[in-house]
Amino acid sequence: MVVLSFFLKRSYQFIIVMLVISFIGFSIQDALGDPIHQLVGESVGLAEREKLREKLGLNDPFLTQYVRFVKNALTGDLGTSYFFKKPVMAVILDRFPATLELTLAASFIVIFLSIPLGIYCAVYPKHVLARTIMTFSIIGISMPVFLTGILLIYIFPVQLGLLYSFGRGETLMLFGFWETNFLTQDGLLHIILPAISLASIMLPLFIRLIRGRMVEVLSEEYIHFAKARGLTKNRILYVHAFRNTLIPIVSVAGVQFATMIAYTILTETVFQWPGMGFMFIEAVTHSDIPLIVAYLVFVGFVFMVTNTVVDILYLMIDPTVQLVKQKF
Amino acid sequence: MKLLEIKNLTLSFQYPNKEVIALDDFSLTIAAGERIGLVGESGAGKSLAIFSILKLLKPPCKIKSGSIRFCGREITTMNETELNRLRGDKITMIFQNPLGSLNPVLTVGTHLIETARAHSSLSYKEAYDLACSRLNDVKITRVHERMRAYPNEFSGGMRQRIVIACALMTNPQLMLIDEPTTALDVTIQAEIMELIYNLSVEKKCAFILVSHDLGLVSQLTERVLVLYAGQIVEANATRQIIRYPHHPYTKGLIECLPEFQRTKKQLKVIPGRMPGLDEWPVGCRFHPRCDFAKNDCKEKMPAVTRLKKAVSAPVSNVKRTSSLNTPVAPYVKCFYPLNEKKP
Ligand SMILES: Nc1ncnc2c1ncn2[C@@H]1O[C@H](COP(=O)(O)OP(=O)(O)OP(=O)(O)O)[C@@H](O)[C@H]1O
Ligand code: SF4
Ligand SMILES: [Mg+2]
Repeated sequence: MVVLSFFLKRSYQFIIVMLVISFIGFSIQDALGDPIHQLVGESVGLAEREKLREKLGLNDPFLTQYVRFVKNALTGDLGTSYFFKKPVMAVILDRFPATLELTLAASFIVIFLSIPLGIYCAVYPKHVLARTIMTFSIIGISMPVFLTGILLIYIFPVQLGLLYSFGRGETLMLFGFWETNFLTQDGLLHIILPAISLASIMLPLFIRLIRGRMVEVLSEEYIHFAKARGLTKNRILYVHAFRNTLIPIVSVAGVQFATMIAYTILTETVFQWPGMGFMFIEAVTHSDIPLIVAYLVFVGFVFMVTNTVVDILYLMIDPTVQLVKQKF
Repeated sequence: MKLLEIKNLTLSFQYPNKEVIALDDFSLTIAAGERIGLVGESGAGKSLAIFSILKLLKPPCKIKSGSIRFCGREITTMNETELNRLRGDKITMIFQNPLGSLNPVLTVGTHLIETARAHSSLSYKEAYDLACSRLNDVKITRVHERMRAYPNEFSGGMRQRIVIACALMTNPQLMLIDEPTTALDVTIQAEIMELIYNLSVEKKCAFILVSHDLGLVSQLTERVLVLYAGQIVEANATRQIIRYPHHPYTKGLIECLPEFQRTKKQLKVIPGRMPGLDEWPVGCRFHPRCDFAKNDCKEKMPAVTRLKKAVSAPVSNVKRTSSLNTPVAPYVKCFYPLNEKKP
């Protein structure tokens, strides 16, 4: 019962948020310019334009148009890109793997660095290394992503001749639609710098989050009791303390993962990474309105899916928020 | 045989600009299987005293001087590895707050099994079976189900039982018990205390019971130490101390017990409050609250006065040995001990 009501509540929230996003997207579409102008340019006459306008349903009332937009969206049809002359969803899905892989690579870096560093800073707060990490994390938080990217490009490819500053390199096609960077050496070398640059926004934040929470947990009574039971330091840190640290971090991580997708706009532009973010900038420069709107709706969708997955994960790993509670 | 011997232990808080003594010249001996109580008001230093035995003091609190020997081995100079071999194995602890003692994200089974496996080469299965039998010992039923449950699924009393089971996983020789029932419902307190007592008899395990409740301690222990402002002011056999308190503070504690005031309408209390760490007065630390204080009490610290085992002895038989270093026999720290009572 409780599980069911959780899913009902979740689905209901999901629908509301998606409706709001699509509504905003649709309204922007109207505000951004005349689609007929984008479609046919200057050469076509007024009468011709009016006919096209009628045919496309652009003269219908706003609400009718919106309902039609949502109906089409539900079938995966968010319109046709003016610039690519292809369905926008096809354009987006074509670029999606590149963005997702970049985000995953960056998350990987964030997870594997922030956890040990955060724990280290919590356990040895007075150590020089810990202080250095904390200082750098403040600098990291306040440094703009594109600046980090440009700095990385300047240091590695330009000065040292290492790694790549441009594109995805050699990729491998999986299942006929997913191009992956992870399975070729060249692909891996290409993804390193953009991933570091994207990770640089989240890494300091997570180091500080994990450190703060860890410090809190380490002063808990059950840690003291674990010590009194003679458990090893590693067991206390990783089994007793870290688990408790992780639980609240997971929910933040979900939101930040989705936020990172938005940040790919900057990273992908700096590194010419052929993903959705880069595509979005192209769409903006070409005033490709359906593509812009579809991007917004799609990112909103990904955001909601991530959040739902994280909430479910959260319920699974935190025994204190049990769905079905019984007391002995 | 001496199981644990603490001699002249002094604990202090080391701050950058000053040092504050928290426990002053604390000595204690406990024999195998013996049950002793450590009694005093809140802030007397009882918890610090028992945490120091396993070197579990949190900085800035440190052992300043003194020695702690367990089965003849010096603890104060042990490194962490040696200490971890002792902690939770031969010496176990039961904490004041059962709600905080167990990790909310680990199952009861994990707590019990990890304790056993940290100190033995038991397989998981063997440790699991041992854990189940310990849960039986602490009167928990449906053990397999409970092993899988998380701490928040249990009431406070049940959690304290689990903590007790944790403390018995390794056949300890000594349990350090810090106010095990203060956080619990009054109705459950007696049950838990009886359980601890029976298990200590059954497993031949000595314990030091810390409590502010002399009434509780007197029912469960053979010997009592009374702690006031970081010093032991009186030590004696439980029966003697209850009937013939020698220190005015002990007398005050006894008069506060409800069972000793049936005749009086009002609950008696010791006037004033115990001074904090940095406000200990010169002279006898109890003198501002003492009804028997005389002038020298305000100037000099009374020395330890050894009492004869037969506490019923008249005044003249109380031997005064001011340079007593290791008081094992009954003693009191007062210029004017109250021992005029006759049996
Ligand atoms: N971390 C600390 N920093 C400063 N003072 C402390 C600290 N921990 C304890 N103290 C002080 O040391 C003294 C002894 O503390 P302790 O916890 O041993 O008291 P207690 O006798 O166990 O009292 P209670 O019955 O309240 O548990 C108290 O005065 C307390 O204020
Ligand atoms: S020494 Fe003096 S002040 Fe201290 S307890 Fe004894 S009589 Fe009271
Ligand atoms: Mg205490």
